[in-house]
Amino acid sequence: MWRSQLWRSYAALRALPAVAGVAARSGSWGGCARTVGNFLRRPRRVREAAIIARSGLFDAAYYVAKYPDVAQAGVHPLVHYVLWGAFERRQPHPLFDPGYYLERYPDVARAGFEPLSHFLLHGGFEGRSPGPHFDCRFYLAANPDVRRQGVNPLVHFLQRGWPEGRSPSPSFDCAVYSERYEDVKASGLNPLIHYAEIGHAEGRDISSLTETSLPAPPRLRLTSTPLGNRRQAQRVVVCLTHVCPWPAHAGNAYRIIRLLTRLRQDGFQVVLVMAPLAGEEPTLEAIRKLVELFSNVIVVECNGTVRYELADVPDVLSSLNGEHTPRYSAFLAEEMPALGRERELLVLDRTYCHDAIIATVLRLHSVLGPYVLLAEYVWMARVLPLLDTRAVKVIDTHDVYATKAEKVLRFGVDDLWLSPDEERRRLELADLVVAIQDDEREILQRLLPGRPVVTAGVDFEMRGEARLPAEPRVLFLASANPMNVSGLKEFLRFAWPNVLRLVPDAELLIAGAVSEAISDDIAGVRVLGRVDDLDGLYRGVRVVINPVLAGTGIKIKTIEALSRLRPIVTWKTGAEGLSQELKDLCDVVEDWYQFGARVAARLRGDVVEAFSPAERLLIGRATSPDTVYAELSSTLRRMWEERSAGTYAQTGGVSE
Amino acid sequence: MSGLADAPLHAFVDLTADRAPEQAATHGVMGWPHRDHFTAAACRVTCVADPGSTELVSAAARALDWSLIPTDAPVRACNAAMMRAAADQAWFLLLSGPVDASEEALFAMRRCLERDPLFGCAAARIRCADGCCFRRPSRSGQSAGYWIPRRTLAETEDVEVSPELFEASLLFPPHLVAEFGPLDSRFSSIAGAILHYLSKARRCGYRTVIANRALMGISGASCRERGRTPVPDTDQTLLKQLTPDLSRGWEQFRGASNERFEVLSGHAHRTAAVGRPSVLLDIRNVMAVHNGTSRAVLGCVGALHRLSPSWDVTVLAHPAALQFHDVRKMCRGWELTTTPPASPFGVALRLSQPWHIREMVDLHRAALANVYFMLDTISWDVIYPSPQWLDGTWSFLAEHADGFLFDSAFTEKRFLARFPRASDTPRAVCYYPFHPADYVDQRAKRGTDYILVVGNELDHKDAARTLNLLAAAFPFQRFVSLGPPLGELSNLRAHRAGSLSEEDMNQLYAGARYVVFPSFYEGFGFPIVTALAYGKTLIARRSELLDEIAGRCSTGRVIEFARREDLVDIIGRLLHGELIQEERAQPPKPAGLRRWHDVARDIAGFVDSAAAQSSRSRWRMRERAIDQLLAFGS
Repeated sequence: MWRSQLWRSYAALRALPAVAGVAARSGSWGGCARTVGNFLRRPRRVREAAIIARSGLFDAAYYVAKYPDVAQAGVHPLVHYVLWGAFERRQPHPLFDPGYYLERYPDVARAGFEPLSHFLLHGGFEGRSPGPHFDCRFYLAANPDVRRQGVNPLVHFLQRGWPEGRSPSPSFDCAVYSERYEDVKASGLNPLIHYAEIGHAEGRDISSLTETSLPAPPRLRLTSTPLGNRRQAQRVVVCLTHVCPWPAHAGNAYRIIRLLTRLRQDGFQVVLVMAPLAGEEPTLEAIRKLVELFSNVIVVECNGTVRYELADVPDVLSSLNGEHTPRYSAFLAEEMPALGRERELLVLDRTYCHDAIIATVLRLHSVLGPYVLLAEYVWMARVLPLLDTRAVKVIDTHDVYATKAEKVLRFGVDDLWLSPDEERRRLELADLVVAIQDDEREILQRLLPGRPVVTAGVDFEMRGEARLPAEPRVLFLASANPMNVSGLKEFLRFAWPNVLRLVPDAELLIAGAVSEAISDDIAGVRVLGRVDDLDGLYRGVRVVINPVLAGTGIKIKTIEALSRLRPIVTWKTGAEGLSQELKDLCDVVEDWYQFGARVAARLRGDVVEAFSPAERLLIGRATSPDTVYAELSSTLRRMWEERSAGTYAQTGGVSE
Repeated sequence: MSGLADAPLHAFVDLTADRAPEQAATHGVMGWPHRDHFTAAACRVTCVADPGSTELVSAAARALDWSLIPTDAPVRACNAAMMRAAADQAWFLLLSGPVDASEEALFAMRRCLERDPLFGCAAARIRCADGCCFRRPSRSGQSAGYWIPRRTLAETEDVEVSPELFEASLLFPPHLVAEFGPLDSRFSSIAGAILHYLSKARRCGYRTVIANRALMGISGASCRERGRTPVPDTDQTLLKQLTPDLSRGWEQFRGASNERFEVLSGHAHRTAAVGRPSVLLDIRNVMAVHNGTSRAVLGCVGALHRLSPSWDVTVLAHPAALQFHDVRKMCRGWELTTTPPASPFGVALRLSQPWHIREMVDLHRAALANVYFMLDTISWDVIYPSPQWLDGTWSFLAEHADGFLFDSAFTEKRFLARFPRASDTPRAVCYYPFHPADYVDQRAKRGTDYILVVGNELDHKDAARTLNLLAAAFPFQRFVSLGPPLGELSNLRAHRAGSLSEEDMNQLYAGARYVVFPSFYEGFGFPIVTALAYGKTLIARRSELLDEIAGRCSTGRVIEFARREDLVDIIGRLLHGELIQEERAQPPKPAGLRRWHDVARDIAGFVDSAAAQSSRSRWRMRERAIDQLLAFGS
């Protein structure tokens, strides 16, 4: 507690210079003295004022113009806002409405936070909206680069987002609004601010805006640069993904690289087409490594830049250079009027599967014979209706988004989701659907009766040391996704104290990007960051934990631990999708008390080896690529052969 | 004033308003012996009577050597008599009706006036023909006076300075008889004209006094009959026009206050005599929701009704609550009201804490003895949800209540520690029932499906933080909460506190595997007793109150915790069948568990005792304090 008080005092002191500057601009010595006096009585407000002052979200001119009494109060508008205005529901900025914020998020009001500083510190990143006109959740979902950069969405929108044509909510399009109203365009004002301040009151055409079609994306001028070119192969799989699979720091990247490796071993020539999200562009080193692995790599950025190296297919991409992308929205019937949710999803579909990647895939398609188009994640389905039956269209789902509400959102973790109908509409575009585990296969099969669904999980090479070390060490290795962070924090809160009580010398090793989420010194915890020597890491621990409660798809952490011959303590959700025999090898718990007790039991026991030879055999078999990808390999081969034999009718597609 | 003793006395007897002047003349005036009554001292007596009165009145007047003026306009005659008295420097005695004005009473009136040169008029107290009651003078002549049992007179001061009033016997000193005259001839009644005259005198500083030791009889006056209003309606209108400060004087300068005292005290004497006290049950704090307060208060009301003490009961309740809780059905045969009643009561019993001084003023004005049932002191301690100026309200309560009941020794200690002035006030701890039969609904389906967390949205209940903790720590365990509405927690079904009927609440307890009651602060803790009555394992925060209450229950199992985070460990061990060290040692099972009947009996005993011991001086102190508060409030 002392530590926390000290920190608060320190934070307030650090904020003092910024606030003193504000106080000094209070207009008079009296005003300045009043300001300082008021802040001395409410030190918490000092820090809040500093946060707001730095954010640029306080518009002093706007505030004074809107509330003329502030000018007469003899204190700086920011001071007035922080001390009084916020709690009188006065707006510090046209797009931030304290009344809306406090009513919609009563926990903020209960905690006594000044709403704008809360929004800047926490709310924006948690998807809380600052007012009725700006939808943070939508903005973060539609702009993953903003989420990754850790920038407040509203600040990003005001500084960069709207000039770049990004939409503040599903129902408002800056470009359309500017185009529609000449005065807005001429004023150069942020269209959303204009609407919030003027347009809304004047009843400008917002209702029709929500119901009109989403405008077609701007036509992109493509520039393509060959990185190398070789001959065409016979059996081709074109893998379309937004994930750069190397280096495989995240589970999905690992899974993609393992699957493609296996397909290549099965005789497929792999053409990897990456459409990285803004801010996730692969490094040149990564591209080189992927070229080394698969020979054919194409990187298509959302601004139309295409870089590629093709060894096994003809270079048709050079012809893209200088072309403009066609109006795919017309072909895809996307120019129909769309309501909020539909518009939101359309934005997401276009974010992941943008026109540049469609143009690239179609150009490849034009020179390929029968081939397999493997779309990673359902978000890549947008291109599928444009392809004719030369392509065996496969969606490798990774996740079932229709189960997110039950498996992720219920645990308070924000994530993308689809309704069953929305997911079905996208999956129906594929000839084959790949589930990542058997439970999800059943769900997908129920969603798509009659459509082939196969399971392809993730393989691991069993390379662990059977003997357990004597030191009572626990390992959590994970990426920094919100579910992993949440699971780790709850483990530290609920279970780790219990472990330490039972095993005082226990040590928890935290490795991987999730380490970044742990900033404080915690008793018995060692934060390792990214670790290259995973073999050594696993060898040194007696038990691995997978405390991630929320999540769909396959539990790679669980399988990896087993393949490293380390016992794993996890939730029943952490063992979901595993075969029963593998599940039986996990310590599955029902609550955090039990979690701690089981971890402690694993640490205290005098067990020398976690698994018997028979169990090790079982793990090796269950996680081998031969087992994991057998069904998918055979199905793809069969479908490709059928397609080659012309069994499939020509359906769908658009000519180049 | 010494010269006054020698001044002559003029008297004016108004028989015009009397319905049967002949009878009055026969039994009243004619019965006055010459020597022992004022007629012996009066050198001049003027009598006015209706022109239609019979010869008998004339004969009486002649026999007494009075001037008889037959008239239906007595004001003019009275004015003339006053002028004559003024001219003769004489005392002026105004009698309305056949008043038996003895020398002794006159002497007492003169003594009152001689006390202060600015006492301008003295009124005598009028007794009924039976002598059992005396009359409280009418409020500015605008209503009939009240008949008060004679014992109350002993509780009054000798002299009572009063706003203007009109009574059947008024005495004016010589120097003031016509100083503010003449009487306004627009008044049709002497009462109206005299009140106007007295108000003019008062505006110059001369006050009316009531001579409480000057008792006079009036022929034919019966305390069983309601008297008549001395000032007729037409005169009242004129009076209000001419003296707009008349009612203010009555309200704010002790008129109403003294009247209230005599009415309440008189009522107490009257009901004590018949052994049937009247009780006002104030349950205005019960709102149209189900909560601990409604359970406690309505439990007491129901139990008292079943006990049927020998009281006349009126229930004062919030209108919405009357309907919501079907109080009418519960209190069949009792009076119900939604506004503070005007009629007097022996005891007012507030079945919960007062929240505003206004509520206490209501009870003070309704009853001589005020008793309060204190349920807890939470609001005072936590401050934020408390009504404005609660500290002042309860300080006043501590100083001026006539009795306190507390629902636990814990609450009593808290209250006395915060308001030590209450230590001298009679008080008792009156627990609510502990017997399972008073809590368990046999129709409720038993089960062990979920963990019930009980609280509400107030911080001291700690429900929201506990629920967030437990729902996160036991993600696959079902929780049901009675408390604050929480966000999206998949393993929690939240019921808003106050929204469930008693039947639904019982079902919640009956179906729970464990009951968690994380509250930091309670007065009694119904959830404790309810959970234990259902034989459940109760996990509650360690406290003195838990020891006090749980120790009186006979069933169930109590596990204590000290810190919220400990719940993870405790519930974890419970769920997995491990040993629990925090289990509270079960005390020996108490014999004869308390039931609602016992609660009602204890309350009734305390109220009867308060009624018997009600202190007039305490009431007067309270009245003065309220006047002071009202003075500030204005």
